[in-house]
Amino acid sequence: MSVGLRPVVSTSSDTSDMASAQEVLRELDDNALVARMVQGDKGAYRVVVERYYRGIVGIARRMGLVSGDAEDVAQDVFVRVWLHREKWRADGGATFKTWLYRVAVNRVIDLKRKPQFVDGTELDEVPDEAMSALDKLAQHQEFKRLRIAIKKLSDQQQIAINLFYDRELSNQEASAIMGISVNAMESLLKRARKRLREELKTI
Amino acid sequence: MKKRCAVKIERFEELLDQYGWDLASWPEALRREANVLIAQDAHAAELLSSLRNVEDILADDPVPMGKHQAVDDIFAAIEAEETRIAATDQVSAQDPNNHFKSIDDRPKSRVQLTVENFIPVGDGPARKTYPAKPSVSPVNSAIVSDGAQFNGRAKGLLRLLGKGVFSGVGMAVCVVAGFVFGVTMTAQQGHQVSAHATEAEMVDLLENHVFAIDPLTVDQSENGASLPTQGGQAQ
Repeated sequence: MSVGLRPVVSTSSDTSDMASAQEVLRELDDNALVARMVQGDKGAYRVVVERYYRGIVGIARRMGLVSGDAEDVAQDVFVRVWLHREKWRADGGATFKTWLYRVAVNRVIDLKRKPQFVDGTELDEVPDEAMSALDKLAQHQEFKRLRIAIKKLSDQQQIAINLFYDRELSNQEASAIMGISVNAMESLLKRARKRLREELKTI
Repeated sequence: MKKRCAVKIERFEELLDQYGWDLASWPEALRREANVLIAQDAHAAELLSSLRNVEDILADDPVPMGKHQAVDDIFAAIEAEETRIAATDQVSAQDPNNHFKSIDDRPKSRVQLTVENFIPVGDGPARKTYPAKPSVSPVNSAIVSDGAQFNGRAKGLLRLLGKGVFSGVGMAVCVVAGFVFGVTMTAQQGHQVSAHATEAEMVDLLENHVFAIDPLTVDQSENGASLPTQGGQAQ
């Protein structure tokens, strides 16, 4: 009997060890996690993925991709980053987060430039159970109107607006992702807001 | 009494574009002025309200977490990709051409022929044929007693010639010289052709002249007739 039970006990112990190791990893900051990731530590990379998956899907969706495409982009970005992890240079001037977002933004731009990309008018509804059906509809209409207006902006203006209003990014990070100075970002945002305001009047 | 508003609606719109649609992010002085305008101008208030709504939608996070298995899917994709890359590497390792490449350690350029590249490094067996350091003649330290200093490149005059003649500048000089030579030869040939043409013309003229004169001469000698005068008949 004891022989039969041994593997079960061992597996349970391993699982709890792995869970506690993941908990320890979650306490680490990006630099420490990325240093481990570069060495090939998949556990550390899993924490990185969990930390930024939502943000990457979010930026892809803000840039006009529908939910399935945005998730595909996120998966593609994380697979690429892992496979090319040795290219990451900690002293390259950018943080890992801005580098990751830049990879994602470039991937979305590539995808949108492909001829088969259908610029979907179907936008995912925002699931909010607390809202009434009428409120949901109104918000969806407003969201749709805004998306139509944003699509009329230039590519740079669209990216600037989407990055600027991403809660998970500071102004410095947004400008670093675009590879421009904060002043240039503000100037771009000013033009984008003006254009967006004018477009919203006509829609 | 109404407070006088310093900010006009056009300026207000400009400030909205510059500082964003949330007045909280505006500079203090401008925010105060804007609040005065909003209190007095219904159009300004409506504009701000609609733009704040837009900003809220933009800043709102409409992104659900997506599939719970998303992270697992990513790692499954990573595993699959790594397996594929490993399989590709294995196939290329089994490629007979690759096998020869792996044992072909011949230097690919002359640069690799330098002595330094032949000095064994690491824990490998020490090389017996070449000394790690070039041995020097005990009589004169300037003389190297073996060929270890040879680095595959010509020295002295050959090196100078190599640099001067076979370099890019040398090649350019050769091309220019060839061009000048070609032009000169062509011009010379042209002169010859024109000279030949002139000569042929002269010969032709002389022959015609001879053929034209000859019968007359013959007639004159045989018949004793005088040469015909211009416009007249021969006697």
